[in-house]
Amino acid sequence: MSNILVVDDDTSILSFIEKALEDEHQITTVSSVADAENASKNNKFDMLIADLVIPEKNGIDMIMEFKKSQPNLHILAISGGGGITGRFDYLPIAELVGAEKTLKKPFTISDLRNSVNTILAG
Amino acid sequence: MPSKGTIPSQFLDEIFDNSIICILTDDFIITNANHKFCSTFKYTEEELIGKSWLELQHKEQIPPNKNTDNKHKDTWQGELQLCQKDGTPTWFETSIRLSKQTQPYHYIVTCVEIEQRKRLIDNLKQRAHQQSLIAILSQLSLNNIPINDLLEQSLSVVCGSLNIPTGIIFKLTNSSSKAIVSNAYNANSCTPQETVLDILQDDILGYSINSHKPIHIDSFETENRFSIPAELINEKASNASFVLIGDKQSPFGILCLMSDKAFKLNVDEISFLKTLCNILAEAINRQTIENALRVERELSKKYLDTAEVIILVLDKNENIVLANQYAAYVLGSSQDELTGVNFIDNFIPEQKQDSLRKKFLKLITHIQEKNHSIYRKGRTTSIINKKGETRIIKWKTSPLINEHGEITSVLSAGEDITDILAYEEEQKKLEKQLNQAQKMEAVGMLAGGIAHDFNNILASILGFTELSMETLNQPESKLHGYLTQVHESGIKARDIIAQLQNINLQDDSNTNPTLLPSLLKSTLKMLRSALPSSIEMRINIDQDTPAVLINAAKFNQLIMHILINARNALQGKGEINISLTTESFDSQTCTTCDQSISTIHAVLIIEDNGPGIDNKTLNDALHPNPNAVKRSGLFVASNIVHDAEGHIIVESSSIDNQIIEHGTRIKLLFKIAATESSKPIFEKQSLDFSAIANKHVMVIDDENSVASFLGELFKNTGFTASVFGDPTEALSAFIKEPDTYDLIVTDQTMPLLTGDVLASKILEIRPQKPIILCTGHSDIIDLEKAHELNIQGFLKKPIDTAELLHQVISLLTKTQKH
Repeated sequence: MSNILVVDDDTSILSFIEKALEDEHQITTVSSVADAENASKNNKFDMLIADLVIPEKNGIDMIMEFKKSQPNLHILAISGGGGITGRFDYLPIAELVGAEKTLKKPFTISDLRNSVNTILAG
Repeated sequence: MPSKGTIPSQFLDEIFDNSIICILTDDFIITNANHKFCSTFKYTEEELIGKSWLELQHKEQIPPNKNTDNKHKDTWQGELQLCQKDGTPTWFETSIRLSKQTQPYHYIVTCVEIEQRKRLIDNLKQRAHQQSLIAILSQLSLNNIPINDLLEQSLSVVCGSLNIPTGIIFKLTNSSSKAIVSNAYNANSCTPQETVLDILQDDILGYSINSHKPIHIDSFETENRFSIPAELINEKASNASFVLIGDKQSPFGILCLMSDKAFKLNVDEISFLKTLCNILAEAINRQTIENALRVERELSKKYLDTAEVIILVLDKNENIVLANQYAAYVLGSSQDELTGVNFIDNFIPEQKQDSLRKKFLKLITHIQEKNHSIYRKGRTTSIINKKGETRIIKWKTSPLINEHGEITSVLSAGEDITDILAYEEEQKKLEKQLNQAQKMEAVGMLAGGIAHDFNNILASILGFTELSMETLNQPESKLHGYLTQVHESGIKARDIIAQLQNINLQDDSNTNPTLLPSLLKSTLKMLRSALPSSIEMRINIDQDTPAVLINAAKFNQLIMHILINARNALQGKGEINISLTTESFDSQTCTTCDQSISTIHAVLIIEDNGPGIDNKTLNDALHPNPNAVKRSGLFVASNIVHDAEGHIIVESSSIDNQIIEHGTRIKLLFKIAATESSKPIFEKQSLDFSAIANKHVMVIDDENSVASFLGELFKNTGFTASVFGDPTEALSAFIKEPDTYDLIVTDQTMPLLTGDVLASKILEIRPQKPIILCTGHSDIIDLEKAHELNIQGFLKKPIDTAELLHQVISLLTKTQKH
């Protein structure tokens, strides 16, 4: 059982991820970067599942900040891809800044579970 | 009354007294002289007796010599110049007769004064001579011989005819302030075109110009009216005459005659000189005017020929009377060949000849009450020139009228507006294309945003469907079946969105393995609307075609160009067959690069049943003139295919109807991607990190916090980073080791050295070095300017980390590829 923080501004995705993973892990869901920062002050998380396009701040910066304060934190980046403006794909950049794995939405339950378990095992 | 046959002695005495008579010995010594003889020669009889006859003769006379002339003859008769006692010579008709009545013999000399007659005759002779000289010079001057030659000739004629040793013609400058020696005859120190005299008001030259009368100076030494230029005194002459050439208002020059001996010109001679100078002045005037006219004429011809205006004059029978050079050029003929050619028959398209002929007839027969000379305005006609090209000409016509007021011909000035029209057309087309492109970009952005949101929605739909199935845990139940249907539809939706994003990701450098069947299907769906329904499109796609290495956006562009070509070939009606398959080639040749192809390729065949494309058109399309602005669709398509390491094979009924019976078949060959990476793009999420591994980034920003943040960012993401706060230090570091740094990220606004200048200096050393320039809102440099400077990356501040990293990755990937 690992402690996982999920950040996404889409609550139905949060809910889906929570339901998909709650049997095996301790899940905390937040829908903003500020909430994520607050949550991480009170809890010690093993893993961050981060959406990359969040209205207030881009996910890349968020990942970098988390990585800076908690170098050992596992990170899985998820995104609908293409960004709001459709200019480029954020997922490879997430990998560059420290995400161990990326998942493009929509993904299947098994994709999600496999990715999480692979990262935690690594 | 004296009787017949004898002369009374008083008459003889009178005759003797009125004749000039003397008697000489056979040695020509005077023995007797009558009174008349003495008074004529102003001697006394005593002075004359014993004097030699030869002393009386003028020294230049050839004397009648007794030895030669009179040995065999009794009488010598002729004109002799004899001198009076004071030396004055006078002409006499002289007769020297041998008298044998005395021993030794004597000579009887009788003289008749003929001075007046002689002078008259000489005068007449000289005048006749001068008249003939003037006539000759007039003739010469009319023959357009060069002015200088005319002056030269005239000067020698004048000096020769007046027996004057030295002559000079001065040419005056425009302001008459200087006299240039133009011609010199026997001059000592004055050299033509070299000697230049200043003209003063009070010197002889200035006076000659102002008085406009011939002036004679008897002696340079005693002259006190005018000063005399030193150059003339140097000529070793003592007296001179000056005559102005040209009138006072526009003097051309001065004729100067000089001699060391005293000379005086008589009235006739002065009139001769004046006439001569008038002839010269006229000749000069005429030639000046003629020169001006010639220049004018040549200029007019040049205008006519260089102006890009067609000038044609047609006579009443529509025949070309005059055509300028440009007309000949546009009509595809020469000026000579055009003369006399019927314009309407030869250059107007047949169906338009009648109507134009009627208009021409109306123009040439109708006497218009007014506005004859005013050009009739702009009628546009098309013509077919001798090369078979159709040109569109905008004409202005005006009837030409003779002195009786009749229209004799028509002047037409035409402007070739073919290219202008084509240019305007092209411009409109480009504008339309630009509009379309902007629209497409906007649509693309929108689609990207929608795709992103839609993926979020699909994530929940698919996710919760899966969760439902999992929670239900009855794989055989109906509900599980329904949920499976929902899930499958969701997957389809996901694939469609992936296509949309695939098309929309406009990063041209990104060439990932692409599955053509689905991409082709969606592209064709999109392009079908661009084809009229009268064109039938048959599609045959092999779903198992393996992934190929091509960028989706480029692929779409490619298909678009080929389909538009096919549509144009079909002219609205026909068939286009499109098929996608895998084909193994055996030494076939690429139509563009002539390379032999002998491996397996994914092949897209687009075939139309139009008229086909001939060899020349195909060659021109695939190998356009490098300077041509417009490129054919086929050329663009061929480039795209070759960029993706593919080839193009064009087969056409017009080239080889053995292979294809009707129309054009274009085979686009794509390189098949290696199997391990042949996953479709939406499943591929990892980057090719080899391009950025161990790369060294130089960061330059004068603001410490930004600089260190960027340095940190690059270090954390696996780069080596060198951070500089001072751009000059950065530059010297780069100059020292230009190959150490793989990429430069620099701020624009910095003291000492701005980012754009720094970038230019770096690019001077390594022109391909990738540089990302970061600018604030107030900076004057924009994306376009940066591209002009060959700066490849451009970012607006505040820096978006994701955007920065994206640019870094694509620039490095591009650099590695090159």
